[in-house]
Amino acid sequence: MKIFITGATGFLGQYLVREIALKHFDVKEIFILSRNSEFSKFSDLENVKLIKGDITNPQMIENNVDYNNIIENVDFIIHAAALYDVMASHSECYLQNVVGTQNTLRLIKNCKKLKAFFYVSTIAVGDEETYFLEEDHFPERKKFNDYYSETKYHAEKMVRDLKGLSDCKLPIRIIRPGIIIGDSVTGRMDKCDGPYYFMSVLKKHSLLLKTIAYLPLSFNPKTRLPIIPVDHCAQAMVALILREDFSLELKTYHLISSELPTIKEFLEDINQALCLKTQYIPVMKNPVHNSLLKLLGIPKELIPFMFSKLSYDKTRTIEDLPELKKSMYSDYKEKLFLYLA
Amino acid sequence: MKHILSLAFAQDHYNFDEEVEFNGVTYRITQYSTNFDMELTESIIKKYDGVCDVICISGLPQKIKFKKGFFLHPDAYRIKTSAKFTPIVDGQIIKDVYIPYALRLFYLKNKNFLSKRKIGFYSAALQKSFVEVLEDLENNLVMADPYFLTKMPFNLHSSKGLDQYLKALSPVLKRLKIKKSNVPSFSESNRKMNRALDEFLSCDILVGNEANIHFLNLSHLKGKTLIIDIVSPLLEEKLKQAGLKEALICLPQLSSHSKINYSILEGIMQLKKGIGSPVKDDDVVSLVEELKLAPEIKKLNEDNSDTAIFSFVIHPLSSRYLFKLPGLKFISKEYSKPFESGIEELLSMSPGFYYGKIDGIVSEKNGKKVEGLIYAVTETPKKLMEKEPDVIYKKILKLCEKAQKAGSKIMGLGAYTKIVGDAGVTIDRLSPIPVTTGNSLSSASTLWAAKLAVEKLGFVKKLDHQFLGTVMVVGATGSIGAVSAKVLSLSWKNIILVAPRAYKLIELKDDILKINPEANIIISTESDAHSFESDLIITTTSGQGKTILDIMKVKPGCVICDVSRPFDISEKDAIKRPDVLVIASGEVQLPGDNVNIEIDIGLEGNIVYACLAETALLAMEGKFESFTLSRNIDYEKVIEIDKLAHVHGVRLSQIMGHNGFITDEEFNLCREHAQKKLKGLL
Repeated sequence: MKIFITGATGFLGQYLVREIALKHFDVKEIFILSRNSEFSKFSDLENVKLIKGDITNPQMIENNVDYNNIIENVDFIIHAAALYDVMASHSECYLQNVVGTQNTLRLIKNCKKLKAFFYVSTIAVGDEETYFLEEDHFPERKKFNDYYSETKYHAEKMVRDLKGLSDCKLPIRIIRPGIIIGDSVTGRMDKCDGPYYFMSVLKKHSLLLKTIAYLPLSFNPKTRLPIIPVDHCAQAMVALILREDFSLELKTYHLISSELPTIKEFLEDINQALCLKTQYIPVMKNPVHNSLLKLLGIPKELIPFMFSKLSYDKTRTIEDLPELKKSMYSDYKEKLFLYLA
Repeated sequence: MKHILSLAFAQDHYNFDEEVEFNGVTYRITQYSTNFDMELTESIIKKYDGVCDVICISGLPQKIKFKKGFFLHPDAYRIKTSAKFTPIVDGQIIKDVYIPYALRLFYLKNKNFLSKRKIGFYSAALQKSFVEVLEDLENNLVMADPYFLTKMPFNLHSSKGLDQYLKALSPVLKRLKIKKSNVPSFSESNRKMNRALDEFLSCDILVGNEANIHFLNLSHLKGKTLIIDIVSPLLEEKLKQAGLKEALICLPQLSSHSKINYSILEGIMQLKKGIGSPVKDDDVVSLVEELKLAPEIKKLNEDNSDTAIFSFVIHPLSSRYLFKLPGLKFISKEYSKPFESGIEELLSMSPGFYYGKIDGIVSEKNGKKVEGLIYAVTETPKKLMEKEPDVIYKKILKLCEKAQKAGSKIMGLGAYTKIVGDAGVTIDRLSPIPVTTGNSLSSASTLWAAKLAVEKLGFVKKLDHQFLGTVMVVGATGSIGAVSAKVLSLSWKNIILVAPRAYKLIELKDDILKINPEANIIISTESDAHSFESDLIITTTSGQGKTILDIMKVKPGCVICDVSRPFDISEKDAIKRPDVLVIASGEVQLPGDNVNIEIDIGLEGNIVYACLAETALLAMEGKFESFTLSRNIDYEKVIEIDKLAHVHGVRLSQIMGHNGFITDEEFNLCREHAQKKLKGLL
């Protein structure tokens, strides 16, 4: 079996490559696409072959010596490359997420023996103004909170459009992971984003917070954080590849933990880890508190997520990946807060 | 395979990378919608520069030419010159050359569609190719450039004004950023606050290009007509939802190639020519010829606006009718005679006035409600013919203006008002709303009446909708005669064409054979030679009282349909042959359960003149155009109005003879006389 992975040097990608290379698989070759020669990350792994290329370039890997080998022999393509940064500019997000996906789709069309295509999307394609995101539903959206969501939305649309073509005989799986957090065993996290902003902000101001009994913050206490540890996400994806039935219907999976914390619970857990006693009083969205968050160092792009009413359908995900039931916040939260150490 | 990069600057989510076949050649087209992001557009161009064969940009503000100069936004210039190796094209040259040609071509075929309309431009500066042509066609232009470009509350009305505006404003425009948020939404809700927008939205036709229309609030397009360069399937769906009535698409041929737009078309031309030699006007001309490009109207929605209003002018048919006026009613019939000529003279000096209305007309096809405003001029036929046509034109034109103010969209000319002067042509040219004489439906309804009369008498056998008898058209080479002959040739076994000039008859025979190759046609210059063979005779001559048909030689049980005015068959002659039925016209009734005619138009119940019904039909169909003008009638128009009448529910109601409606008793009497005579003959 030969697999081609984009975004392999990213946070999720690294776990994915290791999961594939080290477990279960009869994998002959894993081609990993990388702009820079970041091969050191995988030097201990056999069967991993670095392909130098950039997904934003029109020719991507067409000039590479292994190009023919790839299009002739690859069985699976996993497109995990994306720019995940809610603060990035439209242009940056577009190049990585839209142009990158379109170029990958071109490669897919050229592949001769491809058995299935796994596209890593995001649950951010869901509309926060609605209440429920079904797995196979692609919402109609015009407004977006940030360029990351917008460009990932358009990218997923392109993948769906490809599936919509009458001559498309390729099994396509769309994987929408939640907010990816650190390793559930080691607590490892490569960058600060999403819930980690709260951790670092509260940690940074912990001395000050010890003197404050009550702090009004704009958030909805009932909003649940749709998180998933990176290792759980990688394991689930590899399990999907292993159990692939190659049915032609388009399948979408929502990869999030079974037990999710509310924002209030999460803040209380951070407090506990930092030995703080501050009570966070939820208030409605308003300019004063929004700017307070900004002042503390939490990007304004996160605010809509703190009021999201959206919950996520997981019917098929649980059916095909029952082990995801074991991904519980209460089990890994201790490791999560190792980040604060 | 040649690789084309397409950048849709003003779109937000139409991306694809596909192989597209155009004119026998396959191209790879990669499209990205960059949603007004300059930085992104530039970075994609840099990535593709030297890698693809041509870069096509759409939606970027183009070069705006005005007297002694031009304006090109510096950002647009930067983008257009940002590639070092690959040529960048924007489709502008095709628009500049093709659109004026396409609009003219369309105008020549559909003069009514583009004349006498209030035409609004979202931005005339960005649609200069449209402006020049539409200005030539004497339209009332509203250019919303000040609102579109700078949100200022006034409009421009001529290209001269536009030039001055652009010249004065170009230093400001240069500094404005090209941003989506800088474009106003054209939403109906802002209408009350902004006079300029109100004027723009009151236009019948709006002119825009695909790139601009895409990001506007489209709700204001409900019930309107749009002239547009090109419509992608995506935009078509949006326009349909917005309730747009119809779109005149300049390049509909590209609609079947949904991935190709003007800039990509120029890109393809550039590829054919090779890098280094830019596309020129002549190349576009030969492309237009090669691909046979032509504009097209696409109906997107039925016109569902609440009530359509039409107007109609009538006049007193004789001086006796003047005493129906409220102020003169008190003079009873017996005593009115001595006053007639004086009152006729006096009243003819009065201007035209609003007489009353007809409401409750509901189309059977689309349920559309239609209301008719009836205006009257005070001239009797005698006065109308005596007076200078100009005087009558002026009177009727004033009524047209009144009608327009009252919301009417079409004017019909009743009775003698359509005979004055050049039969409506001048009135139509000067009127703010389209004018029709209604003669097409008059001809059609007369033929309906003839058919019904023949059926009622029952002397002619029928086989599958065809009468197995003979019809004769006297005066066949005239306008009404020719149309009648063509229509009747489809439903009669034998047809005899009679007219004084034989060469014209031969031409007509050829024309009819084109429509119905199986028609059995006899031509003759002598009506009496064949009158005994005929079961139906249509006379439509300008004999001015000369006897053109000897009624005594006609076959018993024959129906003579006398379309000529004055009549070819005098009342005296008609009485001589009780076994022959002479009919004059067919009057119709309007659809709708509660048609209410609140005034006396000289007919009973909800029966109206066919010419009035034609005006009402055009309103039901939403076809506000000068449908029938001058003394000539088109065969195609008669067929079209016949179909419209059928679907909208305008039906023949009564058959008129010389002296009013022909009753069933009269039919029975005529049949009995004819049967007796036929027995006698045997």
